[in-house]
Amino acid sequence: MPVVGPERLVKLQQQGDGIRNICILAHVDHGKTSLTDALIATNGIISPKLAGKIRYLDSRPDEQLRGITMESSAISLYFSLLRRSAPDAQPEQKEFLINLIDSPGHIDFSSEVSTASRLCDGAVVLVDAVEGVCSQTVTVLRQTWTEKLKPILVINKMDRLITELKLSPSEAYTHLSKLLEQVNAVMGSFALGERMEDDLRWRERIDEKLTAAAVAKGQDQADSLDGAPRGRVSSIVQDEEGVVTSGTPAEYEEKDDDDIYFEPERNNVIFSSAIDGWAFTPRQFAGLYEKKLGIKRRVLERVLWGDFYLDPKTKRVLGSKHLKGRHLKPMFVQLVLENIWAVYEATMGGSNHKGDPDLLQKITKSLNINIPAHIMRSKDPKAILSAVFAAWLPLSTALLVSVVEQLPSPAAAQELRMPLLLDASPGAEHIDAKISAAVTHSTQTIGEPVVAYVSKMVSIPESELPANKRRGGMLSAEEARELGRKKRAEIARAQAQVNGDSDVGSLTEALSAAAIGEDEVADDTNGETQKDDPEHLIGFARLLSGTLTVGDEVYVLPPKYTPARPHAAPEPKKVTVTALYLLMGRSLETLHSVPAGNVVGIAGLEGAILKSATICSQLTGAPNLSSTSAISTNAPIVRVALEPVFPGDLDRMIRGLKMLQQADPAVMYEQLESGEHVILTAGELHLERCLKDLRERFARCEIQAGRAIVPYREGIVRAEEMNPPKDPALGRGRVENLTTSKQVTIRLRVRPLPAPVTEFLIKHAGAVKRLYSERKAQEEERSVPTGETDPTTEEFAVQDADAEDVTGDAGHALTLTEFRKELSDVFAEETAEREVWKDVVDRICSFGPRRVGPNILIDATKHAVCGRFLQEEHLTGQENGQTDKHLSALADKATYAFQLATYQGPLCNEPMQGVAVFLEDITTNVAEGEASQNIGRLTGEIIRTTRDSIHQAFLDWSPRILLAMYSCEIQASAEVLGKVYSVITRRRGRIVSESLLEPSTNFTILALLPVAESFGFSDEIRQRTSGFAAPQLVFEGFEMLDEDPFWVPTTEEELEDLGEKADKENVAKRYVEAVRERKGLFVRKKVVENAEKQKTLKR
Amino acid sequence: MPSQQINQPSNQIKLTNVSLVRLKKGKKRFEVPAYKNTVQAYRAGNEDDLDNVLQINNVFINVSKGQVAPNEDLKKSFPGLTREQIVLEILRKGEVQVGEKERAQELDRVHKEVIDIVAGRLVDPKSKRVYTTGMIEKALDQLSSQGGHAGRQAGKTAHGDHTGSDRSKSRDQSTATADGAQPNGDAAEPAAREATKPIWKGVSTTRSAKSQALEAMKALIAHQPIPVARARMRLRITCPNSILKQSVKAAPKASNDDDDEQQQQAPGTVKDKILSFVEQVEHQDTTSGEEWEVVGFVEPGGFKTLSEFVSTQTKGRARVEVLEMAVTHED
Repeated sequence: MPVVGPERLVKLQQQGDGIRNICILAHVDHGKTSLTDALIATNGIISPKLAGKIRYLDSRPDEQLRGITMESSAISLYFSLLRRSAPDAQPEQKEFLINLIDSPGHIDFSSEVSTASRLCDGAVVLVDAVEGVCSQTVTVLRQTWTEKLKPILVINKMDRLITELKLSPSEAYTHLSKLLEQVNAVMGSFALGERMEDDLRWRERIDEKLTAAAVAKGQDQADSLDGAPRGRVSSIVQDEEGVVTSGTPAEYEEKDDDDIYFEPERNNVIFSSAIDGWAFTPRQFAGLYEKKLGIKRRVLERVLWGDFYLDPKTKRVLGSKHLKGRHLKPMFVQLVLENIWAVYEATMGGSNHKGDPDLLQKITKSLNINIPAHIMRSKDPKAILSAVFAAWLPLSTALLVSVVEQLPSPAAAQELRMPLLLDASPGAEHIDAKISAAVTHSTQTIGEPVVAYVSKMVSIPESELPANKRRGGMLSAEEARELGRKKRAEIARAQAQVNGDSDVGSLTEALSAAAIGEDEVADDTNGETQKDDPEHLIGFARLLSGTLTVGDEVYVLPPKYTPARPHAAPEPKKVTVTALYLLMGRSLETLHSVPAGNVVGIAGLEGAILKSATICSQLTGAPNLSSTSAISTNAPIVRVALEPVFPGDLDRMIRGLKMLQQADPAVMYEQLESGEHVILTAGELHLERCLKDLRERFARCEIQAGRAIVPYREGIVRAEEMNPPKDPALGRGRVENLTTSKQVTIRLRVRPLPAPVTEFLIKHAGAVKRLYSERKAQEEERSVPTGETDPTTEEFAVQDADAEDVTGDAGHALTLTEFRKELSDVFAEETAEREVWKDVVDRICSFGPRRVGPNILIDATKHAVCGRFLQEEHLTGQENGQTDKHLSALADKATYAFQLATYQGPLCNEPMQGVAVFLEDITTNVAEGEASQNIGRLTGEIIRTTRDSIHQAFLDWSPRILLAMYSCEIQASAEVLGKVYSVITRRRGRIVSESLLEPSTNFTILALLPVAESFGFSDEIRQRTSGFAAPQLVFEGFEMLDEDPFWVPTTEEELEDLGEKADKENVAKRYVEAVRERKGLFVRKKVVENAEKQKTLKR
Repeated sequence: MPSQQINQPSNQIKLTNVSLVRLKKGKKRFEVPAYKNTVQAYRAGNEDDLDNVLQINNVFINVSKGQVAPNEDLKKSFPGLTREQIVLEILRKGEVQVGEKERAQELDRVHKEVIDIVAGRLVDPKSKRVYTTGMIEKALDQLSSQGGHAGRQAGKTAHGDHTGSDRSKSRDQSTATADGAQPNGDAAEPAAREATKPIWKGVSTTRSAKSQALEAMKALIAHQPIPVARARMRLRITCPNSILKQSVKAAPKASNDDDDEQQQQAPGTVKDKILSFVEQVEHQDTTSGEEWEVVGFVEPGGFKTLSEFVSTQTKGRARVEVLEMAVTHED
């Protein structure tokens, strides 16, 4: 095959209707990359002999090692076709440029699939002939459906039917038709879903009409006092009239859904075997048999698949009812499959699996093909097989012809797709009409608005960039070609400069290229090129309209951008395109300009794009195609904490993580309050790849991954049976303590907060925080009254809400008074112990921990020594004046101790939740002067005593541990429902709801799962359900585990049931002890379980 | 003598899995044989099955020789107690041999506690974020493997070939401490400084976790294996305006003499002095009435002096309030 130079491809880029952008989608191991290989071989990039084995587009070493694709990659191919415009006209050559994107099939990388499909106009969906429809097949089919891609079905691995399953041709035919039915059932279910929605909408519309009309009629009726029946009849009649006249068809119009199905007679099904290098469509065979049978080609195309039979005598095609009991084989079996079986028999069959030379001779003769003598003599039957097929039914022809014929050109596809996509994008009504017209018609002329969609950023090492690529150990011819190519690029660049002297962009580009060249020399002398090879991010983009040229300045619109507010923060950046690349798998070719409809690599976007974006030449009225709502990506669910092996490498790791986040759409990186660096990936395999990337490319340092630290909360409840209070005189939860120097006495009482109050406080944490900052602002400028918030605090609040708000409604401006009122309402709801919580709101002096948490410190002292938090400022001031200064100084310390105590609870030093502390009394028995003298020492004492008292009082109640929970949404098919349940329950999860997802047979299960048990959850659930359940985890909040970690059997009954040590495992205790052990706190644990059984080696 | 056994290696009976609890009382030494690694658990109350602690419920004069304590000795030393009670008494009060597992566990616990404390108090000076315990642990390991001396750096880098050099390079980048300064000639000066630097050699079980944590923090800050600084405290200091303008007076009785001199020479007022403690002022409020208020960040080491200064200078009319013990970055 001749090698196709890039300049030819570049030329082809200019003609829009000769371009096809396709992606190859399938389940894992259904042969996407092998198929791609066969196509690449046609362009002479790899040898046809190696096609299907080399996996050219799997350029990563780990991809080659594992044999699966992990990143989607693109390649541009040249294909020429002889085509007759009229049946008797001279065939003329037509050239096509095929931009092919190979996508990964593993579920972990499904985000790559969705980005790939966004760039394309058509999809080639592969199905394994033996395995049939698998979980990912359904996913990719849905992807093509939602993205409105035109699909072609390829039934791959046909050879397995012959060599592995050893089916006879008729058996294979039944198998294939069943398989096709499966695929069409999937497609039908999508169509059905859409149809039902349409139907519903239609019905609603009709109902509206009817009711509207009925209302009108009702009025009429009221006017006319005549008999009711007549009125009703007339109203119905008029209703019908109304409906009919209003233009909505009374009968729901059935959409024609024929075009969505795969049918061989419609030529959108290809039968292939990528490994043996053959493929065919019925149309090809129709062409072959046209003369032989004397049946018109068009007729033959239609009857070749299906229940049609060839009458052996009359040579006429019969339907199944004309068989009259004769036992005939379907035409597809007789004319197509049997021949292919024969070739296999001739080459690999026979008694010794060496083939049948006589049969082969016959076949080659009848097919009129020549097989070179050296292949005929070859011992390897495979070689002969592929030689026969390569001459008879080459894979590339069948596939590429179908692609070219069946799939639309960019212009045609955009005409169909873009209006829908534009409508779905946010702020659609603000999109400039000029732009939407340009995008819809894919206009290529320079000067038209440039719109491009960048689906992801690809990271490429600097040495791989075409500007400074060096290939060691390559063929000399290749190298020479490379040199020539470089020369040409240089000439082109020089020309560009000559053309536009004012074009500063390209000039700087040339300069920078020169600079890079110098770098390279320096690198060589250094001898450390491999190490200092920096990564460059290149945008993987599809140009939708206009022509993009190197040096153009374009706006990068982030995913949150909406044309309604083009200047909203963050302001879209303006960047200069520094280079354009033709993507050729692992190598890149420099381009000068690219017209609409092409897939292209854009350099210069580094730093401006995180993951995906839209590029537009103008800011106002630009469409946002990358908005998060428009693209369905699974939220990443596997969380791990990363840490460099050598602590000094931390900075590198952070840099690397930021880069990884850009380069991989499915990775999320966040830094937690605890200092952990957590990444979220789509699956375990994906995680492995990310770690490898980090180690070898982005961070270049050793990195460890481990479980992220699981947070807990501590709380208390009023349990049925509690141990008696420690000091019965004081009552439960009340503690009185003297500081160590016996100078200050503190009495306080701890109570559990009513659950609604706790909930309210958690929900409004943002509001509390804002109140604090407001108070601060107030203190700064007291002239501003509380009611009206000045703009600065407002902004503050908005940022707060953005930053940490969980519920979203806490961001609403709750003023102090509102907050007070709502809080007291919540308290009022609590019916039990009403007198305890009466007026509590007025006496709140602090929240904790960190002054915003769901715990309250309540001032119950006689003199009200603490500052009141929820009071108007001037009131507090007055009270402060009256109270004893000296005591309030002590109370400050107690307040601080409260913060400390609630930050680290007594169970395992985790924050408390839902605890109210009533500070009842604080007295000193020393003179004021003396106390203030040694306030330094007293401070420590008071803090310690108060904290310990709170802890003591806390433990007087029944303590509980609260687990962090994920809310887990799982979509699973009915067959695997049981397995999903078993996984969830085994991990101590709880099912919340389960509903059937109409109209499919899938169920949506909503469950709560403890974060502590979620490690490896997604992997387990996928394994157990063979990929038919897809979980999504979202952090939900904390839920109480209703078990006292300190509980031991006490009553006789319990002792009898459970034994002295409570054989039943105390789960709460297990969690508490695990945390305590992690933090180095004291754990009640025996060093050796059975003393006698210790290993006692003689010395 | 044929009746007496000949002492040979094969017929020696050695005590295995035995740990002795000894108690000296009344000039006699009593021993109780216990299983290894169990006595600490028993004393802590984690083990309540006595059979799991004692090899035999008896008191010995010498366990290895099998000499049971005579009744009269016991009576003399422990008047009025039965043999069983004496066993318990010895088990509670006697000196024990700490088993290796017990020791390891205790060391591990203290180690974790120290690291937990350190991790809570140290932040990255740039981002004000805390480090994870894992990072702190690694940094401390690095210090203790150097033996606390950066002078042995050459030996340290020798063990890792490519990664080791990688690490030292990044270390040099991140911290321009004495580690990096060594090669450039004047080795004497940094070496001298090295000697004064606090060193860290790992935890011990004898001292409290908190004091060891303080030591570890000092060592980390001095050597900077990762960029660290102590988290600042946030304080609110309120003071009446009348006192503010006064010049710092020598505290008549509390302060030392040399301090007095210094303070008198210092030009500042009370306000200046207070502000000199505060590293970063968050906000200052001078407008309102007679009270002056400042909220700011203070290095934890300086808190005590500040607190003392304020209380002595203003006779308790000014207040120092701790708003936050350790300020870290919050999301």
